[in-house]
Amino acid sequence: MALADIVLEGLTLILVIALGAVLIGGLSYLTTTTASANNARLITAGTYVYLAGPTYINGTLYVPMYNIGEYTVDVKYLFVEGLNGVQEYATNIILKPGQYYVYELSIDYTPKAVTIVVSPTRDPKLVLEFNSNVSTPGPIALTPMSQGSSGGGLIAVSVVDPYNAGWTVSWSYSGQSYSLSKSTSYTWYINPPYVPIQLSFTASITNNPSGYTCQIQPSSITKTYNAGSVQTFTVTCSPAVYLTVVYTYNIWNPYPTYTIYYNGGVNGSISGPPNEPGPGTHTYNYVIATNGPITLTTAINNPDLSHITCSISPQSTTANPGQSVTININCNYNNRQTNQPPPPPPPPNACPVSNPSVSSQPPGAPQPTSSANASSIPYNQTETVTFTYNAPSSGNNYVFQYWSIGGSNYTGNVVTITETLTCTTPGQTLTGPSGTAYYQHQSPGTIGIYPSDTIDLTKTSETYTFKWTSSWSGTGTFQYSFTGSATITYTGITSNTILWSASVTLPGNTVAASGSGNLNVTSYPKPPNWNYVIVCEVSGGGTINGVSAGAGIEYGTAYITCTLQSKNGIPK
Amino acid sequence: MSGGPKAGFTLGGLVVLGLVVIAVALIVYLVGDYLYVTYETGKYSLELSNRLSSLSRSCIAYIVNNSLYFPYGTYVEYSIPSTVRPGWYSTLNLTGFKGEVLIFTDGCTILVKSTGNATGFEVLGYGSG
Repeated sequence: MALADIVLEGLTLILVIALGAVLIGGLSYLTTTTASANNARLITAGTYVYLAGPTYINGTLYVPMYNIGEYTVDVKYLFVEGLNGVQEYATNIILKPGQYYVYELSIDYTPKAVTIVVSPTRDPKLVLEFNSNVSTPGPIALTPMSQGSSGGGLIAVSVVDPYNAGWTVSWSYSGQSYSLSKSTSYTWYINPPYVPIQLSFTASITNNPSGYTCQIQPSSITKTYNAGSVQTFTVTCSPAVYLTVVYTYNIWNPYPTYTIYYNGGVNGSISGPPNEPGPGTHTYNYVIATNGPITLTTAINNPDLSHITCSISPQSTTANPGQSVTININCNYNNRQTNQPPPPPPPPNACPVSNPSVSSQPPGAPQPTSSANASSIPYNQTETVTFTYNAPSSGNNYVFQYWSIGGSNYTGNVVTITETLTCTTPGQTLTGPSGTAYYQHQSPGTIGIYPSDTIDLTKTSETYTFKWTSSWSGTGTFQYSFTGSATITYTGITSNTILWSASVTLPGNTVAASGSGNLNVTSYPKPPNWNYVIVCEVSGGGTINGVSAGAGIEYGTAYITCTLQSKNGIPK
Repeated sequence: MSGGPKAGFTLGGLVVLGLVVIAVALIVYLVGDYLYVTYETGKYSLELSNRLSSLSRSCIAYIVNNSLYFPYGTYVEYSIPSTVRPGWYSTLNLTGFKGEVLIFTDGCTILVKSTGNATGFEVLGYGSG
């Protein structure tokens, strides 16, 4: 019995092993063949040779081949189909992924189509075919800019850059942004999906030619363009003086500030440091555009910091366009180590020198400033002190006329007066003559809107033309806005507060032109019955930099959104 | 004592267990490889479709003001005769072209013919792949 069991168990085991071996063998064979097939499937899917326009010209067939697949291929044969059948050519060209090659073939018949036979080098057993018709070149008509594709039209963008300065122009529409950078004059075209379209451009200088400082105008513009519109950006460069201020100070707060006045080819001033520096040496670079030589004069602005002594080298210098100038300013505590508490005030016998009193007329005109190049004069000594009077040339719609300083009138807005002061009484405050800057008020011009003060609420948007004239000149910023809403019931329009406003502003809070008003509704949608109202919201606005303050025309779009609501206010 | 059922592994049970493990491993590999290849081929197909669409768009060209304008841009591989530098172009100035110039781009072959008259370029052919 035991022997029979053992024999039976052994036979069963042998049977199981045999069946298992068959199963495993079958599965192994299936796995091997499937993996091979999968590999071939993968290589086949990732192999593609694009025939980029085979062309037959003057007896030569050009077959451009562009491997846009993932695998290196061997282009083995080229078949050319003509009127009299198919000709075979052995090519044997290896094309790596991304490689482009033009196969040239001189033939004496007109080809209709070409087919290439390729094998991926990773699996030479695979053979794939790609074919294309042979193109016969046809004419492309001249396309006027007013006819683009997709119902749109071409908009030309031109940058005039005679100085070969580096520039970047960015623009956006339909949520997409684009940019182009070059360092030469260049024209290109934008093909928007529809016209008219509102485009926003921004332009900036990325590199100045040596000895020049450049600007690109307009630096930013948003407006509505039609097919054939041309947007031009102009790069202008001026010879410049490059100024470097090496500012060393070993004091904790408060820190001295400086003003560098320049006169000659151009008048103005530079103040610094641009931000609060830590103790140590800092370098600040400035570019002063000028067509002629300028004289630079440096002054420290904190004469009340009498415990601080600043040395300036050079105090005054002259520079020609293209030159570089370095001014060293070094400030320390008087006769003390660095980073120590402020020393006691100067001896009482010295006479402090204060900034002259300055004011402006009429009230509301910009406030002038004054400074002195010395903070105190020792007792019983005589020193020459230079006072500088600086009035903004314009601001708040006022234009500078003249300075009245110590009974004399000066036409320049920056005046330097030298006084010889003697400290005869200990502690006596010395100063220069007081001055008054006289300004003349200049009113803003007017801005008109066309079509005149009306709006059609059945549209989704309406584009207006703004025109202005002003007695102000210069380059300013145009801003416009549309706000408000109208409510329409079954009986008609019941409320209308749709306003527009526009302005042209110049630096210094000067409004060169302004206009505003109410838009009267000419047409409006009507609710279906008494139970509904339609509320139309009007919005829109924009900013356009670089406009001429004297006169100009710009465009702005008001966007109209009307919603049908039940009378209890719930949207339908 | 003898002849009753024994607890624990028998030789036959171990052999069967080993066979089952090998079979399951082979099946998992088989299915995993198939799914991986299916995913990769789908990815290749999508990439090639996008590439072909991009190449096709790069063949759209107009002549505007004596310039060949590609609204979607195009990459010029080379030209016969060598007139155009390889690179990306949105506008190709045709001012210096004389006679026939064959331009090979990634997407197509463009033939520019200069007629030599005042307008410069009247006929321009192109073939797209």
